[in-house]
Amino acid sequence: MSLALRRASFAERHAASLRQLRFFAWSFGRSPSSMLGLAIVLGFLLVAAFGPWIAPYPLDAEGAMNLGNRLKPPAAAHWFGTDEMGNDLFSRVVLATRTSLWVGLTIVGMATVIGVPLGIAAGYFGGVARAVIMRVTDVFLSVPGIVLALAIVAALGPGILNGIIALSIVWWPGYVRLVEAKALALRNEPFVEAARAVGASNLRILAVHILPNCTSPIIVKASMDMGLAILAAASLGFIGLGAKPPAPEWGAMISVARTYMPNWWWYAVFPGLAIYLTVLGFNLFGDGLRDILDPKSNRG
Amino acid sequence: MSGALLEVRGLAKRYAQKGGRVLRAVDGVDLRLTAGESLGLVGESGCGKSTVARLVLRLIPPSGGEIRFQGRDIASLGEDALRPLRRDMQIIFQNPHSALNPRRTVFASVAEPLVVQGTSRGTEAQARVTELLRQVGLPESFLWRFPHELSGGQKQRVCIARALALAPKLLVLDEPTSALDVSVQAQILDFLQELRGSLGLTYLFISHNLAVVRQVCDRVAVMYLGRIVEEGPVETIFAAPRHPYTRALIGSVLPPRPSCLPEAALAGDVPNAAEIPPGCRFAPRCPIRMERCLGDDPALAGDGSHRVACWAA
Repeated sequence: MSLALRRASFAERHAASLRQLRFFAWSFGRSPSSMLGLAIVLGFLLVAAFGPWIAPYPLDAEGAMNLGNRLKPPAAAHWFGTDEMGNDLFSRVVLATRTSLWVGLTIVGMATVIGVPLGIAAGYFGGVARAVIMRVTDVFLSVPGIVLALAIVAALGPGILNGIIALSIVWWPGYVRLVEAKALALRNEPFVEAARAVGASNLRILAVHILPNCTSPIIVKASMDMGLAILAAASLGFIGLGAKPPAPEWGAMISVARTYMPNWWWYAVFPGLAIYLTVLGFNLFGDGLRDILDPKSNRG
Repeated sequence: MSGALLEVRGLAKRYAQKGGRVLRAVDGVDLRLTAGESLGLVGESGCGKSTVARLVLRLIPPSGGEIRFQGRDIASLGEDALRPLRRDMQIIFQNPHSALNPRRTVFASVAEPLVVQGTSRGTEAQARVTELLRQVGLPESFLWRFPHELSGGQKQRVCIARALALAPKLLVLDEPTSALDVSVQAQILDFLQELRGSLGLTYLFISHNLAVVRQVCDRVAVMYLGRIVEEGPVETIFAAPRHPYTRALIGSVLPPRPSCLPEAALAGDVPNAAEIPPGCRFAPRCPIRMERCLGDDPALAGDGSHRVACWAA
């Protein structure tokens, strides 16, 4: 028998994947709210990436003092006005974007790294492993996250790094829940049994058959959690347990601005708008992803 | 010993339930498959057929009994010891729609046995998979497709290709056609028949469809509530069933003619496997029940080829 021993080209091997990707892009693009979310998220990422070049007064983010310029209303020179130190608010809001981005990425990343393996193990192996993992998760879930995070930050001491650690510690249980339910359902799928019937190891089954089929809900949850994690970190900053002024951080800025309300409204409004837009963007984006990746799941 | 590819004795699977009850899903099953034959395992849903399939392949551990595969007892082997043996026994599932990982291409699914068993990879695996696809009647262009792009019959062919990848001796078919359209069923059955002839496979064919079993199998074993109640050559069983349950099963599929009244259908439901009645397990529903049936459990007995577990037979 003469078989052409030619490795299929990349395009051949992935033709179906590419077709599917094009379909996803097409159906995502049909939803205006998804596209708005995508636009906001992209804008946020661009501002985070190019912040130092966008900000007109980059030094103002490090706590410079221009006391002659205190609390100026929005104008051509200072689009968002200035704060009580005379710093340009636009520069500070723009440069705080980067802080928020890495806060969100770190918290969601840590939560995924801790939560997904635990959830997969609990769902797939069942028995004692599942009982232990799920009870611990339940304990964490039964305490309101932000309250627990407050306690942890209080113990570790205020600061943005400690805030991130605290929020990561309270964030993972949601992922355990999500992945456990999915892995539990997948464990008895005939394709998993078929893999076992050819002698595949547990590790291979987890990596090749269980995890790839859990990724859609994980991606959806992670994209929505980006917004929520940024909001939670800002909340910590607001009550003085996260980033400390003069470091640029939206929550901490609002915290100081609070005392200048309502006469110097621009001081609180622009950082607040930044938080609002970012959370809205990630939520719309996550919703859009859910509609294409996970169409059967319930709309929350 | 002589020529039996698979010999199962006293196979049992019990599940502990809440409240200390024990569900006896499989309760003392004996089976014997000689190389090259096709044995049908029939029974109502819930009688333990699929559990037998999973036990025989050691996808679940048995609670008791022996499973001799090629003369070796595999009932208590660990996963590592089983791995090389898995080359020789494969399974095809009822529902091809869930038997393929939706995230993997046809190539990845069919090549998985080769990769896991370390037989071949890369170009060699691609050549082997292409050949397997041709064998099950699918074009090479299917290699890089995903399951959702295939029809039910095509998916089942892909599953068959995967099961054949390691050139097994025993193929367990767990209701391989019941999830398919009727027209596709016939195609797949014909194809399975052909395959057995050309590759010299041994089939354990599980089904609730007697007509299908009659077409594909040499011998039939009838299962009721976790145990085999009658076993024999397919034509003997269909022509002269001796167990009242077998008679009722066969009676329930024959098309009733206006000239003759259909045989009385079975009354009642299958008892719960956690509460198997004492004596003959079929006694509560049996039309020819005797005094003895309520106390003594009949064993499978008879001449060499046709055996029945019934006091009236």
